[in-house]
Amino acid sequence: MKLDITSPSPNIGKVVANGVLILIGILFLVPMTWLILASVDGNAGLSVGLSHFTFANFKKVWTWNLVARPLLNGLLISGVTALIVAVFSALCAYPLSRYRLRFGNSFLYTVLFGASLPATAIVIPVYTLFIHFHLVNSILGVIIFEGAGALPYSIWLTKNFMDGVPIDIEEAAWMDGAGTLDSLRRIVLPLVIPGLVAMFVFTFIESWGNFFAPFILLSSPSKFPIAVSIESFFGNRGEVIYGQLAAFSVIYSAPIIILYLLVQRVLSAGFRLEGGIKG
Amino acid sequence: MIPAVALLIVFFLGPIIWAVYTSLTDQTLSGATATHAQFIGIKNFRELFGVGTSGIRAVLNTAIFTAACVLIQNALGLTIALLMRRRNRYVRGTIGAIVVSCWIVPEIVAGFVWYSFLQPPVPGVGGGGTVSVVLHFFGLTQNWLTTIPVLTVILANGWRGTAFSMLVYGAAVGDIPPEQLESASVDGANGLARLRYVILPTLRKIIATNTLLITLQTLGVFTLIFTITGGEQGATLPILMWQQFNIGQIGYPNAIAVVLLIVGGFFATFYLIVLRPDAD
Repeated sequence: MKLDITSPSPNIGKVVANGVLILIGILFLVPMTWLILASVDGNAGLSVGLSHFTFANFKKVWTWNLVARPLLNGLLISGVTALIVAVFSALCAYPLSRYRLRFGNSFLYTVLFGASLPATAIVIPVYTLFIHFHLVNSILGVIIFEGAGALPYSIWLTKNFMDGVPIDIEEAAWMDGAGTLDSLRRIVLPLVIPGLVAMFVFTFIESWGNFFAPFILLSSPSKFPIAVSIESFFGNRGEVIYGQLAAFSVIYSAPIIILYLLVQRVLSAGFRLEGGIKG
Repeated sequence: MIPAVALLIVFFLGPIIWAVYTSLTDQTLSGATATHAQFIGIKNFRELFGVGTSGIRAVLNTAIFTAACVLIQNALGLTIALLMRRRNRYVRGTIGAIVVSCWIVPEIVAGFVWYSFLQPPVPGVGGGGTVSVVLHFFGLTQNWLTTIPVLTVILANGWRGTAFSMLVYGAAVGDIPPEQLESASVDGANGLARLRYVILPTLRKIIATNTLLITLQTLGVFTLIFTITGGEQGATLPILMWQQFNIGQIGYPNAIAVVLLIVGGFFATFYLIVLRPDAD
């Protein structure tokens, strides 16, 4: 606000800035509007509009084979992947954060390097490798692959998050006679749980949206997660009923939008906690 | 640490080594070469970079796609972040939520959204996606999905990816000391001069980091392009990799995987260099 007084013609600048922002907002919103309106439109076409409001599209797509089972498969794959990743990265990040390991730093940078590589590139090599492990067309195979893919980044983030827990608190606990495991369980874990929950949710969201890995690694429709199911529903382009496709998309997107909203709160709660201790 | 490291070695490093090995063979999914693959040296890579092949076109498409997305997302993300400063919280909240929601929806759904948005009108009937309907109002018509597929996927990916840059720059812009901007404007610097002499130099490192991260994210984009184009026209390297796999090849798609990993590794190295605490 101070700046406005000193800058020339603040009001014009303000109007222009608001105007440009609103224009950008509209441009971003318009493509999405189709999805929302078409999902509740009985005669949905391809352009933005609403001619006949109904929830029939949702009822039509909500069948066991099309939505319900793939939804459960998706929950299984993404849930277990995220759980494995959260547990493994917590166990891996604790020593990296708390002890000066001889290869600690080079390990961390290798992990970050691995996290940066395009994971898409590894899916087909993994498929050809999984043939030898008999992990092709197996939900476990997808979980293992997605877990290994998400682990590097999550180790890196969890380590940084643990670094944020001041070691003084732990040292104080050691003085008072707490062992390493004790201090991990009673001091560090409660403080990093918001971070681990966020980690879990982010991995879950990533996995939920991951289409390529299950698409390549799975072949029986009964094992498909919702990402692959919705693609095969769309499969015959041109013949698909757009209102139903939009309704399916809304069902598919809903869980991760809800999770994203939840994790925002968890994250800010985590930061408040940390600030409270430092203050 | 051991379980995590074991998982990484077997299922992350293992496939990479396996990709390098099979990319030097003529292995296929079935037939004689499935079990008795021959070592053929760099023939797959020659084919990939051969003049006039689908390989070199995919290399070019990937380069154009990645470069354009990096530019659009950086520019739009920074613009939105700068404009958001000093706006009232309703404007910030609404615009922020709209842009972030484009990023949160799954990639396939973003693909559907753009597939419908740009759908050309049916000849003689009209209609089509929102863009077609609006253009029709002005007496124009478009068929970008088939004539310029690369542009369509650039727009779609830019739309989806801008939120990331916006969030990165939003945090960084907040860290610029207001006094610096204030004293610059007291000295007579207008908005553009402040951007050029104060904001951009301060954000140099963040811009470099963000650019490298977007590059790495964009190189491997498969799902969005696959959904919009059906994996046919305007193939990038990941799409070509899938096409070749789909017709039963292993050696050739794994050669593409190796190229993607090498290019990714190159940018990842830069990323680590920029990220060092003492880097300037």
